[in-house]
Amino acid sequence: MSAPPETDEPGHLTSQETVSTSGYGVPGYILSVGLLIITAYFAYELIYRRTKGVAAGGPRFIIAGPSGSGKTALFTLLRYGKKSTTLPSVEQNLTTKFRLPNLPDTTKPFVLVDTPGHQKLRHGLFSALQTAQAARTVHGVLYVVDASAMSRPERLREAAEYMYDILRITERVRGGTDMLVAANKSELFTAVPAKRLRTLLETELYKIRESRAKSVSKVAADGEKDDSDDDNEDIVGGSGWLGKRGEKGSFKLEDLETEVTVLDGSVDSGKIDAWIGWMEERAVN
Amino acid sequence: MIDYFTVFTTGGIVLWQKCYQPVSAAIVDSLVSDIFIEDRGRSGEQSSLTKNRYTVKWTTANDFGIIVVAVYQSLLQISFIDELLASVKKLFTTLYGDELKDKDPEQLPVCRFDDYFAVRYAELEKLSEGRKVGKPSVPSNGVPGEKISSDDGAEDTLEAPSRVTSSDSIGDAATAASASAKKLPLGKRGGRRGGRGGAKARVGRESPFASSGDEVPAKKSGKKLRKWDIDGSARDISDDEGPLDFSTADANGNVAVDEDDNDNPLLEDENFENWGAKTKSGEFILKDLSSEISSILATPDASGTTEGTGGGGAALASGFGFFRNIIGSKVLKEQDLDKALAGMKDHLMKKNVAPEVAQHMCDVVNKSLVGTKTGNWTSIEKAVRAAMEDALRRILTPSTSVDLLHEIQRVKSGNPPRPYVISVVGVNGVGKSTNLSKIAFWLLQNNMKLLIAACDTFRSGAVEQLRVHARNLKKLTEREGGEIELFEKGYGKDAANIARDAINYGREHAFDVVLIDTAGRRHNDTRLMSSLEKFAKYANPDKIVMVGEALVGTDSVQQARNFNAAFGPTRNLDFFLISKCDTVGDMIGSMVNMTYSTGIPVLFVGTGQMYTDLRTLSVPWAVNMLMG
Repeated sequence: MSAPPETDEPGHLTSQETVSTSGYGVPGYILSVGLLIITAYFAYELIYRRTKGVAAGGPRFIIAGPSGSGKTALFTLLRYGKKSTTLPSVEQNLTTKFRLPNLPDTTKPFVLVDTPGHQKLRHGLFSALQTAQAARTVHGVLYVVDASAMSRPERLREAAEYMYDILRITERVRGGTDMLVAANKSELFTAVPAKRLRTLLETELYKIRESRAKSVSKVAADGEKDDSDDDNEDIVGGSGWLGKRGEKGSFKLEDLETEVTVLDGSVDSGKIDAWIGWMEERAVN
Repeated sequence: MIDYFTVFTTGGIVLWQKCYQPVSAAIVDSLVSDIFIEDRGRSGEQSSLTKNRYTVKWTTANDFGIIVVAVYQSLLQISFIDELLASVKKLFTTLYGDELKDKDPEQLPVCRFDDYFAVRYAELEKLSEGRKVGKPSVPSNGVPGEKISSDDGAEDTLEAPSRVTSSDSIGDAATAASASAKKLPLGKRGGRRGGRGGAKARVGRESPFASSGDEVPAKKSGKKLRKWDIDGSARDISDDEGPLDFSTADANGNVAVDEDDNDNPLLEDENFENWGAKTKSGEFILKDLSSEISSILATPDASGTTEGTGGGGAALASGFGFFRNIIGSKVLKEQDLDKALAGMKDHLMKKNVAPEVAQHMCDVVNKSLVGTKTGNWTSIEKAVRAAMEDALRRILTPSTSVDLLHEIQRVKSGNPPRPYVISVVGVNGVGKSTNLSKIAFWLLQNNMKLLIAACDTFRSGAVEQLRVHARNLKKLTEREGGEIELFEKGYGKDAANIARDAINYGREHAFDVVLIDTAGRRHNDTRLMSSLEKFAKYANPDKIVMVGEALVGTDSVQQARNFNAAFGPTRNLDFFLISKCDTVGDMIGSMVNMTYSTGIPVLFVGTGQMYTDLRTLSVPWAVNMLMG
């Protein structure tokens, strides 16, 4: 909402109030006190809203990833310095006071958002990422995956599909939005190392791109085919192309505008220095 | 009796948990997503869900953003479980309410709830036993019961400053020395005073401090063992207590000192403040624990939940309810929502959503909004609308993505290779054959080799209809290299057998996909529906698609339910195809009805008369249509 209507609205209401109360013969001083309270209240609301708005809209990092990859645990580890036991998130976790350890204290705190990973709740991330990108406030997306499950085809597929949808959003801005694929749980025996994970994801993203290009198109408002995927608000499972147009045969993450980095780490054993380093690089830019 | 009890935030952070029997994390996770994300287990008033021989009961406190969950074996009947959940919620919100209200706290709320829970649990258990047997429990039980509470009372007072060595020792000494409860307060006061000194000197005395921290859980678990004789849990408690213990928190704080000197004073202030706040509310902590619990539980709900939520502005604005509605940041109560929700229900019903479903959606919205605060400049109507959009989106979004082409490829290249089998079912005249041929057209465009099995052996003309489709499709896609064939055995034969034969034929001749058309049947005709179970067993399709028409209204709920149940206990529908969407405009409520009643997603929508008029569902599109 823009500023003018807000100021207009209270003014209108207070005048109404004046008319109605004076009609009942209320003494003038009560009226003036009432008016004073009302205007003070509106001023308070406006100021409160402004400060809060700035805080919530500040530079941010967004944590995303499939369910069960360790997003909320990473969030508490980053924010509170300790990992907590977690259950599937139903709502996002948000803090406006996130500080990176190696940055000087004078830097403003960041906003850190942990989004739910369940398929039904991903819409929240997509819209949040789009608004943040439009406002140019997003420093990076931390895409957390469970590296120990990436040797299983269906889990890899799930991780790649979600990543594909996110990449389609990050590709929309010039230069893209940086993404860190945080290969969590790397301390486990079955964990796929970062380098291998990168190739696995590339292969899977390629397959997804191929099959989405062939899939039945989405229903649109007028019932016609929607070929323009740029202003299409439905990203999930859409047939939008990722990477170079007309590129055939392979998919490389380097070809994207989005800079994708894959780094090993582990929330459980506290090895997240590499990820923090990545965030700090993005934060100073 | 209870296997697992937990209190966690909607963000998924576990605040407190108690594990009596190890329950696999995967089970708890799946239960939580089933209940709170996929919205299952809505059988009437009782909020419970049974799955994998576990039953889950829960209660939520929206204004605090917490969820209380109890998991127990389905075989057991725990009569007092609802009471336990309610009282835990009440206790938790009263004890830690201030910390929980802070949406962006400096530290995670530390909830040492073990003793409260144990006492309350024992109380309720005893009560229910008394109810069953008809007489109060044996007196010998009563004595240790007393002892527990006094002990716990002592421990509880020390709870906040328990990180400090001196407080612990004094408190302990006091407990040991005083058999009477009268002396306890003295001990406590001493403990607290000692605590203050200790807190200040904390950083300097790192090592003695750490050792004291270790002692605390050890002592606790010892107590547990002695009192309630729950061996398995004692270990778990100490494990869980570990990260939440103040001593470890301090250890963290000390680590932070090494990294960043400036952080520490801040952290310490925070601790100190928390601790001070607890001392202020010390009157009831001084009492013994069980009486504290009963006093908390005795306070009426209203004071706990509705007041004190607005902060500074609330008192000022209480007289300006009208303005509140426009300005927003109003704490929502049930009666505020009633009007907006009634309007919303009408609106949904106009969109062809069944009354039962519309009512449920409104209940969901109601539950999610009561106790929350509207955003600034947000009216109740706006808030309800946003919540409703969210609820609709949640219902319509599938919980697993379906990529048919990918799955067909996988089955084709599997070992041994076999055709992928898709079968359509539905009520008469909804467009099973038409939409089957639409799917066929799409698959043909992707160079698949198709076999259509005509298993509608009942309605005259059904086989001929498919033959015409097959001929048309062949002509349309000849140039692109699609292959299509019709498998038919005439009329009057058993559909399940034909389906099986068709699949065998398909396997022998290396078809990629077998599409099975079935006879339409009325969903409440048990004779016709019962043959579906045999069909599912014989044909065992990879995907069973139910075609439902957008035109049908309230009945779609029952249709979806009956068809979903018709394939036997182990098989369900895989997805819906909603046909004739072009004929209803924005009244696409049937979609919501069907997904609501079964939890099965809509994958395709039919939007016209051409082979190309098949679309996948776009959830934002559907939500816009429904809310517009």
